[in-house]
Amino acid sequence: MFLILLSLFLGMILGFFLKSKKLRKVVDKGYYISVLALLFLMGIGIGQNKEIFSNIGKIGLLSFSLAVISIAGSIIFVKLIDKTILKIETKRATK
Amino acid sequence: MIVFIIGSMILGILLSYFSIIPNIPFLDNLTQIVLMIMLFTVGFDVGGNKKVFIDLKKKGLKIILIPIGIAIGSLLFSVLISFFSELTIWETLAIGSGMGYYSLSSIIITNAMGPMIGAIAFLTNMFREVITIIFTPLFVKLFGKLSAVASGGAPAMDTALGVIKKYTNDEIAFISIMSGVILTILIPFLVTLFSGMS
Repeated sequence: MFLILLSLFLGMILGFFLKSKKLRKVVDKGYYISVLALLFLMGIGIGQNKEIFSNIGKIGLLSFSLAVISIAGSIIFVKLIDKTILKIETKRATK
Repeated sequence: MIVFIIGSMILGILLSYFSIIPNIPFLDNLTQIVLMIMLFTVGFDVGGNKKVFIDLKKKGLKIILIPIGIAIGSLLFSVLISFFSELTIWETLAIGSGMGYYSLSSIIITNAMGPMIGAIAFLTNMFREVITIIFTPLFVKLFGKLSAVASGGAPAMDTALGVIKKYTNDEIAFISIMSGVILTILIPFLVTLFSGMS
């Protein structure tokens, strides 16, 4: 966990100070390659884990419920903040 | 991009499921190293994005409350699932803190909590993106314009931005980008924190 956050911080600091466009492109490529490599490795991990395949229906249902409920939570809290503090939507309506 | 992402994952699944490649004993270490490279590049991208911070100052720092509200709502409600399933509170918090950023969150979670929870995190956060893209017109109609931004989470700044802009206006589209960027910064920290807890 420490090493992961350290790499993130290091990237942020270097990204803030280094302005070279060329370097930015290289880093951008690095991002795509590493994401694809990681998902490939993740796939290998899943393929080795037979437990996932025997529970695929349950996993799908659980994931869908988590997606729906987290969306609901986010909408409710943003509405609450807008109604009480920000008033972005009401300001538009009265115009 | 999504085609390549799902494609490389399916390729990995097939290759190992049918034992075409042998069990890799150092899989976790390899993942850890590539994960660090990926987070370095994510940080680099975020750190160089100075325009966002200048725009944010102009528009008022209060806008930060929107991504904060999105995160709190997502986390509190995700915990509810732990009462109805075998998932622990920390697992639901880790999955819920992905907020649509499925590639990064599922990788960090797999690394810390294993492939089962990682697979759930991947699907959950991909569903979140897909649901947002499909149901934005309905959300805007029923719950107002900001609900599309809230539903999107991190993808509100890229993959879901097109549909959000189409069904709201330029001001909301701007807020959508701001909110997505702030969440993208926040998510690696939250996911790492919660997935390290169990």
